[in-house]
Order: sequence, then C-alpha cells, then structure tokens
Amino acid sequence: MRTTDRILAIMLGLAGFVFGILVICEVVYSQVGNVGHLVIPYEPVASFLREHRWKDVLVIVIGCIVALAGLLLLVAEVRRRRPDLSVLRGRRDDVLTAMSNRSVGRAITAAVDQVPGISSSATAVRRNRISVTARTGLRDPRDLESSVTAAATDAVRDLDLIGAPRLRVRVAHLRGSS
Amino acid sequence: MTPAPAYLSAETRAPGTIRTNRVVLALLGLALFLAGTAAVLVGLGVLGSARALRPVLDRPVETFVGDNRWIWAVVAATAALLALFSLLWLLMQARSNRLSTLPLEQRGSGGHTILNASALSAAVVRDIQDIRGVDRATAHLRGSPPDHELSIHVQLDGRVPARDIHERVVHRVIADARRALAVDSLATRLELDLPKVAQRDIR
Repeated sequence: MRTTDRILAIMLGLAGFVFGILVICEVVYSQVGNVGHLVIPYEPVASFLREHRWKDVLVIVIGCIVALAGLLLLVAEVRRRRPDLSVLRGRRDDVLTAMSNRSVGRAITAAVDQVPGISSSATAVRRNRISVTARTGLRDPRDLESSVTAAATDAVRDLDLIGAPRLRVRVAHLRGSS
Repeated sequence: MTPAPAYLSAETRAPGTIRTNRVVLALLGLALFLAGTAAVLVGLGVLGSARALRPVLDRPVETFVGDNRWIWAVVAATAALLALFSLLWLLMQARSNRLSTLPLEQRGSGGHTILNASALSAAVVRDIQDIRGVDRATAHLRGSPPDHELSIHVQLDGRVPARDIHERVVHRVIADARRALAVDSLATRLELDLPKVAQRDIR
C-alpha cells in the first residue's frame, strides 16, 4: 500500500502542480483581454455542464463513480495496516531482529514438507495466528496431523519469535488420490 | 529499556512522507466521496425537485462570475496554492532518512572526525556476505545522530538455520561495527529473509 500511495502521490502531485500553473496562465490570459482558452480547452466542459441537468442519468452516474472512487480511497487509507514483520527474540537489547511474515511461513512450510507422507503444504502467517495446510496422498493419514503440528511447532520455536502466534494445522487429502 | 514489539511494519526511507501521503489521500478520498454523494443527492431530488431540473452550470452562477471580476483573482490564488502544495508534496516524495556521514564522538579538542556512512555499511555487508548461508545483504545508517540506527537486510539462502545466522550477525558483524565506531551500543534493525526454495550444498 505504501508503494501505491507513493505512486498516487507522485501522479496527483504532478497533476495538481501542472493544473494549478495552467489555471493561473488561463486566468491571466483572459484578464488581459483575450477570448477563448490558452492551453486548457474548458469550453466543451462548460457546454456539457450547461446542457446537462442534475437529474440526467449521465450526471448521476458520474456522481456515483466519483463517490465510489472517493469511498474506496478513503477506506484504503483509513484501514489499519497489518504489520508485515515478526520480531525475533533479541540477542542484545540494542539489536531488533525481525523476519517477514512470508519468511516465517516459508520456514514452517519447509519443516512441514519434511514430514513423511506430506506431499505439499502452505502456511499463512497473520498477527497472532499461523495457519498450516498440509496435503497428503495417503489413504489413512492417522497421526499425520500430530506429526505436522509437531514439525510446525518446532519450526516456530526455532525461529524464536517474541509473539506467540496460535498454530492451526489442517491436513487435507490430495484430490484424485486413493 | 522498553520491551521489543512482537510485530513491526516494513522499514521505510521516510516515515513522515508515508504519514503525509496517507492523510492527504484520505482527505482527497473524503472530498471526492462528499462531492459525488452531493451530486447524486441533488440529481435524485433529495435536496429539492426544482434543483434537480436545473443545469449543472446554472445561469445565476455564470451571471455572478460575470458581474464579479474579483472572482478570477480568487481562482488564480487558489490555483497558486494548489500548485505550491502539489510541488511540496512532490518534493516530499524524494525525502530519505538515510545518513551519508556520521560524526564520531569527539575526544579532546583536536577537531572533528566524520565517518562516511557508506564505508561502514560496505564493511558490514562484506562481513555478512562472508557468512555461510547468506545469499546477499544490504546495510545503511538512518535517522539523525545521535539517534541514528544501523539497518541491515539479509537474504538467506536456506542452507543454514536463520537462528545461527542471527547469532553470527549480532555477535560478530554488529560487534565489529560497534568496535569500529568505538561505542558500547549501536541501535540496529536486522531483517532476515528466507528464500522460497532453499539452496543445497553440492557435494
């Protein structure tokens, strides 16, 4: 979101700067006695606004689009952003070590993939919760869930995270296997 | 000493710019939402059915603008403010809290010693990349002295557990950096990243 914000800021900043300068030029141009526009062809816009009434469908549709775009932008900016790094227990007070949630997920996935009987796995790391989904082709998984839980728990312990996220493990049967 | 947080946001070159972008874009979103909603409400006749039948650019508005020449001065001043604000907002995007030099603690009155920050960060990167299990690393100094911070990003290759690399970076590389700066404490932010697929040793 930060990158999107920065791209939007650069685009809108540039547009605002250029538009502001052009409007000043247009005002000066018209105030010294010239007729018509200098750079911004505003006449078609003015005619459109003169010819359309507030109740016209096109005006209402444009209003809806503007309101929706504004609402989306407002919600995207106001919504609380999830922190994307998990902090590891420090070796020194002056060193703060963190790992991206994606990396935490990769460490757990790598550990779970080592469990015999597991074909593949995926891990989603969120604040206070880690969800592991492991897939097996075995007909009778039996204790597989406890093995996967143990492997994932060990991986989390090895990372030495400060936060203690809850671990949720699910073993799914591979589609098409017997 | 405050306890370390359990979660962090990704590092940024300019926290102030991030906050400003967020506030400005939220205000812009609010303005668009209010303007769009107002247009829809007028069009649907909520604010009076007579108003909904009038053109968007109404004759009284044009007459008012035609009769009051001073309105153009207001338009020009508003446009100037918009251009100025936009320029400041644009320039703000280039801000960075990275340090290029670091004044070292002065001993005696024989002058000032300034350390080129890239010299320190290059040495740190070299030392980290020598550690087995590290794919690549970047480092820089940020903040403003004396509250500066060494920021290190290490991409691991997956051959060595992250915990071991963490130990080596903290106890070897950062310890060397502290010695080089002749300080007991050096605020450091260390970010470790694991690869999608771990590399394997070829035997």
